Amino acid sequence: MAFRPETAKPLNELAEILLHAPNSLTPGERELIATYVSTLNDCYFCQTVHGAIAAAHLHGDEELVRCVKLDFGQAAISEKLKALLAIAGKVQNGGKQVTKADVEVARRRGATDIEIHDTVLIAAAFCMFNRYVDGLDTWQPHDEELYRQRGKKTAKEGYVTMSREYLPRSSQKQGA
Amino acid sequence: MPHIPLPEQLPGISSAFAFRPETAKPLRELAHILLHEPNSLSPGERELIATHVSSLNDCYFCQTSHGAA
Repeated sequence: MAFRPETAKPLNELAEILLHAPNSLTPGERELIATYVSTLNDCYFCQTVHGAIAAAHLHGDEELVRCVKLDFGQAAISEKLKALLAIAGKVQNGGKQVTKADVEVARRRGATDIEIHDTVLIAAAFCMFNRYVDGLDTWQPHDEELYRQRGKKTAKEGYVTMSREYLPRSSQKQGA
Repeated sequence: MPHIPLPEQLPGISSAFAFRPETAKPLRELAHILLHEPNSLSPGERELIATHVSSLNDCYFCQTSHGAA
C-alpha cells in the first residue's frame, strides 16, 4: 500500500465502507467474514490482522475467531452469520458456486439484500486483497502481539485513518 | 434472475454498482487508476491482463467488456 499510494486510497476506502462504516452487520461480524475468506485463501497476513481486528470488536474474544476459522458451524455466532459465511465460502471458491438455495437460507435467517450484497463483496474483495498481499510476497512478521495491537487500533480508528501512518500527505489530500 | 433485486437493464457489475453506490465509488476509482490513467504499460496492455484473468475466472461479462476495451 505504501509503495503505490494512488491505488492504496480507493482500496482503503473500500475496506472502510465494507468493514468499518455503520452497517446492519456489526464490524465484528464483517471482520469475521473477511478473516474466514482470508483463511480459506491461506493468506497469513490478512487472516491474522483481520482476525485481530475481529477479536478487538468482539471484546477480545480470540477463541471465537479461532472457532470461526476452524469450523464456523460450531461457533457461537448467529444462524444468520453462519448462512452468510457459507455464501462467503462459496464466493471464495468461485462466484458461480453461490446458489439460490444459499441465498434463500440467509434470507430466512433474517439477512437483508444489502447484507447479502456486502457479504459477497467482502468475500470477493478479500480474494483480491489476499492475492495482492501474497502475489507481491510482502513481508509478514510472525508476532501475534504486533497484530493484536494493530487490530485494536484499526478497530478503533478505521482503515482510512490508519492508512495515514504510511501514506504520504500529498496522496491523502487528493480527492479528500 | 440475480440473487438480490438489482436494477434491471444494467449489465454485469454496473447493476451491482447502481445497487450500492457507496462501494461502487472506490471500485470505479481503482479500475480507473489501474486501467485508464497514464502508466508505463499502455491501456491496451493493462486491459489484456484484466481480460486474461477474467477468462481464467470464467467471468463472461468481464472478459467480454474488458476484451472489447
